[in-house]
Amino acid sequence: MIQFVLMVNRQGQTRLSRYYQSVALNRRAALEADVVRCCLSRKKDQCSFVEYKDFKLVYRQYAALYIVVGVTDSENELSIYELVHNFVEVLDKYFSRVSELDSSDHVQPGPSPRHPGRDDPERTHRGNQQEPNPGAALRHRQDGRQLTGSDVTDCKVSMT
Amino acid sequence: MSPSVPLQEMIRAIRSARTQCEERGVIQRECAAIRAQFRQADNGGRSHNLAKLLYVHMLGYPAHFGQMECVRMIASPRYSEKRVGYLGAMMLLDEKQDASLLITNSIKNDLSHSNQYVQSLALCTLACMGSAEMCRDLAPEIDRLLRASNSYIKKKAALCAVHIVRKVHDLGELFAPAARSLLAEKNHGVLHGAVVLITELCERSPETLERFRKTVPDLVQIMKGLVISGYSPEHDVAGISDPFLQVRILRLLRILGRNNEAASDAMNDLLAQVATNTDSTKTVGNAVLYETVLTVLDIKSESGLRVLAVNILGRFLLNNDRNIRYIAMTSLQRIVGTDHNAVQRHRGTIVDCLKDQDASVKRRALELSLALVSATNIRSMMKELLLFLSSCPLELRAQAASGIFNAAERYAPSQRWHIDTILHVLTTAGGDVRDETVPNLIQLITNTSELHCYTVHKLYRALLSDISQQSLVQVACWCIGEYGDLLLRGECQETEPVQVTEDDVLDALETVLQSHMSAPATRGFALTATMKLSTRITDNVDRIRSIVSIYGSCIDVELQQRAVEYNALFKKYDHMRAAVLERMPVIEKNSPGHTNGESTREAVKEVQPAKVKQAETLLPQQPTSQVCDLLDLLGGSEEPLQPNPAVGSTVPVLPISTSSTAGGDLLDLLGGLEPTPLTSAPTVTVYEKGGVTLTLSSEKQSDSGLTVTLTACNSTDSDISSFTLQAAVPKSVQLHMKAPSGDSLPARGAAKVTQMVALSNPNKVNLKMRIRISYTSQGSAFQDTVQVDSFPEH
Repeated sequence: MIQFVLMVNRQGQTRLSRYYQSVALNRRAALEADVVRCCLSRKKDQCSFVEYKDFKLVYRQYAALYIVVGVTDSENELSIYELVHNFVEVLDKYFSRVSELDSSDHVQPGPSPRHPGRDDPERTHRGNQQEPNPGAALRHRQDGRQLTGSDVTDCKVSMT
Repeated sequence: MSPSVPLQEMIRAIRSARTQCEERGVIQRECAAIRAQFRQADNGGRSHNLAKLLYVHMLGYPAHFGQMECVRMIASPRYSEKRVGYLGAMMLLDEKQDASLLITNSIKNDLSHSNQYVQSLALCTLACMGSAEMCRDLAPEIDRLLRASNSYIKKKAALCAVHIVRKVHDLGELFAPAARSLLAEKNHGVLHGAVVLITELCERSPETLERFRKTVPDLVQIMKGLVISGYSPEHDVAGISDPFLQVRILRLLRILGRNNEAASDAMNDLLAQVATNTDSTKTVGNAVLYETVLTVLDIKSESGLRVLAVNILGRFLLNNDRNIRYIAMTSLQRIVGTDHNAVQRHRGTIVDCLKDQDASVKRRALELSLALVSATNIRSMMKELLLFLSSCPLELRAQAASGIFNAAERYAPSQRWHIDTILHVLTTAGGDVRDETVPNLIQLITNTSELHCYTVHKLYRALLSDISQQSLVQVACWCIGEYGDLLLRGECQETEPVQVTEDDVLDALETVLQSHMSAPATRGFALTATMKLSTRITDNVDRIRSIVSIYGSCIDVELQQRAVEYNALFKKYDHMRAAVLERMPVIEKNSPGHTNGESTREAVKEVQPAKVKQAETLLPQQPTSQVCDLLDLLGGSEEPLQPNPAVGSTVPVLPISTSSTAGGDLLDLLGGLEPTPLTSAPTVTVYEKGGVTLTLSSEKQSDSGLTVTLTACNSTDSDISSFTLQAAVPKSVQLHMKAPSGDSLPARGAAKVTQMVALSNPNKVNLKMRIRISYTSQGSAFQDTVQVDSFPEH
C-alpha cells in the first residue's frame, strides 16, 4: 500500500505532498526532510529503491524534481516505479509540457481546466490504483464538460 | 484588512520569499486575511480562500481554523464550492477532529445526488477520512452504488468499499457478493477496483478466502485476455496491456493459491504463459514478470514452473538496469533456503554483483553469497569474499566479517586455511569483528598443535607491521607468550625461516604496552605474554623483570594488579614460576555461539575433561578475564565459570601437580577460593522393556545447544544384534546423531552401547524427542518407539 507521495525539488522544498496514513502535522516536515535527504544523496548509478525505516522508498528524478513514493514492504517496487512514470505522463498530456512549477501553480479551483497536483485525493485513492491508462481517464472528459481537477485525479487514481 | 489576493499571486509571493522568516511573514499575513474573510458571511471568493489555506497547509503551517469552513462549503449547492470543501475535508479533517462528524449528513445526501461528479466527490472523501461510525452508517449506500449502472461510480465505490473493510472488518460480509459480480465487468477501472476489494476481503478472513477460491477460473480468464489480446490503445502502457491490473490479479492469485493444491493447479498454465509471453525489454514487462515469479514461488507450483521462475530471476541478474538486479537478488534471498540448488547455478553472477557500485545491491549480494557458501565452493567463494572485505563500505564490514567467520568455521578444508583466513580478516577489518572472535581464534590455535610454529611466525610478522587492530594484537600477544620459544628457534617448515632474537620479541611487546593505540585489555594481554616469556627465554629475564616492575605503579588498576603479582612471582615464588607459566592445555570448545551439531570437519576436538583452564579465553568481559587469568596463573582453580561439560557419566580428574598445592597456599592468601565440585550429569531411564534399558543424559553445551547421550543395556540372557536408534525432534530443532559405539548388546549387561546426539534449539521451543529402537533378538526383529518430553538439565 502506498503510504505517501512527495514531489520535492533539488533544494529540498516540497512542491506536493499527500499522505495516505495519518501523520501528525509537526512530524510531516521532519519526515519529508529526512526522506528527501535520503534520495538527494543517492548517486546516478544507484538503484531507485531505498529501504527507509520500516517501508521502502521508490523515487524517480525528472530534471530538478524528485517524485518519491513510500510503500509498504508487500508492494511490487517495479510496478510503483512504472506508476510514477505513468503519473508524469498524465500530467504531461494534460498540460502539454508540464514543469515543476505547474504542479503548484495551477491550483485555481472553480470551472477551469487547471487542477493538477492539488486535487490529488482521488489520484491515489487511499493508496490504491484505478485506471491504467492516462488516455482513458482523459477521454472521460471529452464529453464537452468542463475539465476539472477531479478528472485528472481520475487518471491518477489509476495509480495506486 | 488587506485585499485578498488570488491564489497564484500568493504562491508567487511565497516562492519569492528568500528566507524562512520572510516566508512565515507572508503566510501569516495571508492567514489573517483568510480568517477575516471566513468570518464574513456569504462571500463569493470563499473557494479561493479555502484553496489558499490548503496550499499553506501543504507547506506545513497550521490550518485548523479552516475546518468549519470546509463543512460549510460541503453543504453549499454550488459545485465549485463543494469540490474545494471536500478537498479541504480530505486534507484537514480526520477521525480525531470533531468536525468530521458534521459532514456525515452531507456525504449521505451527496451520495444520492443526481450529478455523478458530486457522488464521486462524496465517495472519495468517505474513502479518505471516513471514521468507523461513518462507514457503518453509509455502508448500505456504498453497496447500492456498487451495483449501479455507471461504471465511473462503480469504480469509486469499489475503492470506498476497500476503505470501509479496512476500518470495520465485519462489513466485509456485506460487500462480498457485490465484489463477486463486479468481476464480470469489462471496464478495467471497475475490474481493478474489484480485484483490490477481493484481495482485501481475502486477506482479512479465511472463510471469505475459501469462497473466493471459486473465482480462480474467472481471474485466469481475465488474465489470459489481457496477455493474449492485441494492442488496445485504451489500456496500453509501453506495449503491455494494462500491466497494473495484471500485477493486481497476479497478487490475488497468489493469495488464493497459497497452500491450496487445486487452485494452484488451475493457475499453472496461466503462469507459464505469462512468464514466457511477456516482453521483458521494458520495465513494465519486468514488473509483470517479477510479480509472476513471486506468485510461482509462493503457491504450490510444479517443479518445472519453479525452475522457470528461478531462471527468470537469473536473467534479471544479468540485466543492465540496477533496479532489476536489486529486486532479483531480494527475491533470490527469499528462496535460497528452499530452492538452494537452483540458486547455486547463478552463483557466478551474484558474486559479480559484490563489485557493483550501488550499496543496496552490494548488501544483497553479500547476504546471498554467504547463504550460498558450501563445502564444494568454499575456497573460491572465500577468495571473493575476502576481496570484497577489503573494499566494502564500512556499514557492511561487520556483517561481512562475521559471515566469513561462520562460513570458514563450517566448511574449512584445512586447519591452516582456516587460520590463514581468520588472520586475513583480522588484518583487513580487525576493528569491526565481534569480541568473541579473539577467544575463538585462540582456542582454534591451541587445537592445532602442529601449526603452532607457523601461526606464531605469521602473527609476529603481522604484529610488527601494524599494531592498531586490537583483536589481532591480542591474539598475537597471546601466541607469542605461549609459543615464544618456537618463535625464537627460528626454523619452521611452513614459512621461510627468519631469525628473531629475544630482544626483538621483547621490543615488539613493549611497543604494544606503551602504544597509545592499545586498549587496556590489549595491554593486559601484552603484559601477561611478557611474563610468560620469562620462562621461555634465557637471556633477558632481567629486562622482563624491569618491564613488569614498571607497571607496578600503573594507573590502570588491572595492569597494576597484574604487575604487582608478577613481581611477587619473581621475588618470593621464583621456584614456582616455571610451573605456573607452563604451556596451557588444549581448550575445550564449549563457549556460547558454537553449535555442536553443525561442524563437519575432522578437527581435533579433544574433549578434555576437568582441569579446565578455560577461564581466560571463554569470557566475554575483559575485566573478568583478567581476574580469571590471575586465578589461572596461580594454578588449578577449579572454579568453573561456565557449566562444565561432563562427558558421559565419568569425570576423570587430572592429577593436580605440586604447583597447585603451593598454589593452594596462594589461593588461601587471596581468601580461600574453594574449588567447586564437578557435578556429574543426571541420567534418566526413558525406556525399559523386554530386557532392554535405555538411559538418557544431557549436557548443555551452549545457550541453544544440547548434547544427549543415550546408553543402552541388555539384561536378558540372549545377545542382541543390529541394535539401532533413530530419533526425531520438533521442526525448528536441529539434530545430529553421531556414530554409535556399536550395534550389539551382549547378554546380561556385559557391555553397553552409547550414542551421542547433538541438538541445536535456536528458537528455544519445548524440546521433545521421539526415539525408535529396533533390534534383533533370538532371530526375531523388535521395534518400539518412545517419546521423551523432558530432558534432565543441570
